[in-house]
Amino acid sequence: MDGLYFALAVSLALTLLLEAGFFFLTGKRDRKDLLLLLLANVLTNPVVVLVFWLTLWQPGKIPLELSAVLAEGFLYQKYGRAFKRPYLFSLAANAFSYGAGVLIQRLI
Amino acid sequence: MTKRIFILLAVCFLLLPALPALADLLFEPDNSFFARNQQDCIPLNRSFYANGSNGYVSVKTEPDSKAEVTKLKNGSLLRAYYTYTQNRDTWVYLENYGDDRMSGWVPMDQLALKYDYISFEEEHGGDFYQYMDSYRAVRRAETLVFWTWPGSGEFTYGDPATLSMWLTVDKAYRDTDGRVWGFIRHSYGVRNVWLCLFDPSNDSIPAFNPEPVPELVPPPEIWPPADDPDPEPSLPWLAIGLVAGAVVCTVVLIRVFWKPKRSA
Repeated sequence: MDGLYFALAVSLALTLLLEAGFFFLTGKRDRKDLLLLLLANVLTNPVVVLVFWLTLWQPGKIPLELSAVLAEGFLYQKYGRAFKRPYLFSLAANAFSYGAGVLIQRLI
Repeated sequence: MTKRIFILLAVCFLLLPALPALADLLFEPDNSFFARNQQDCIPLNRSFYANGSNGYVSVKTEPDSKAEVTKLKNGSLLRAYYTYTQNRDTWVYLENYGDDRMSGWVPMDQLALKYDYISFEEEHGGDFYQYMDSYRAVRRAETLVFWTWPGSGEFTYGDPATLSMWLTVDKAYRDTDGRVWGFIRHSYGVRNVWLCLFDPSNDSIPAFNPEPVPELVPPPEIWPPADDPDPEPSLPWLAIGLVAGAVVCTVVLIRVFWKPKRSA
């Protein structure tokens, strides 16, 4: 089970780093929105990783990820100050972090 | 406009290796423990006999896992390729090919080492010396007989046409009957074998140093044995608790410090 804790920690750390990077890349600078983004990912990423780890059900990966996108998009829409298209931003940010993460894993 | 195009291109570029993935970073668990921890696994490449205390060994998917690949009766010959040590326990990675193909992990203390050329060196290495004499007999031989170790009684045949011209031995050993043996680490498909240098074609050399028979716990009379009773729960409750706690704390923080936007 040591691998699970490692996976949780690394997934969350990389996700926070990459999505924060995407946040700035899109020109956003609102600090409270940045903090909301980080908290939204703390809310969704460990849950997604844990559920996937416990089930190892490959077809479930897409619904899990979509749920995370929708949950984060909902938070941005309800509490964000400068998210013009919250669900689109959530989708793009998650796609960016996932793709970058896969690249990093392949390079390591 | 330029910024939007740049962002779009960046997202598309990074999506390419992730198709058909959609979102978020998911550190995928790999079912192969070895693939995840290869840097901590030490090559071994030796054979063992299964020798579990209950008469069999339980091959696991990964060290300390409850998930079982298969059970193997004591006495089964296994090929071990790597070791991995965690919490002071050493586990061995096994692979078997053929009809009984399987791979998995077994605790080292449930295995008995099969005597091999390394074992012979550990016992007799003090008598090894650098060979400086002639290879004439080897070059003239019509067949070559390669032994697992001097006096093992186990041998294979080799092709003198490919070996005799370039053959050199790493070290030599003289047995109690005066025969001179040369160890070949690697030479044209032959690996880790011994050759009787002055009598290289003789396949009737007596087994004066046969493989010692390890003492093994007898396998159970009923096969397969019943599964271990009362297995420990496999859910990682601590991880579940930590994640649930993180979710609750995050929700509370957001509800306390963020005000919902009013609808227009």
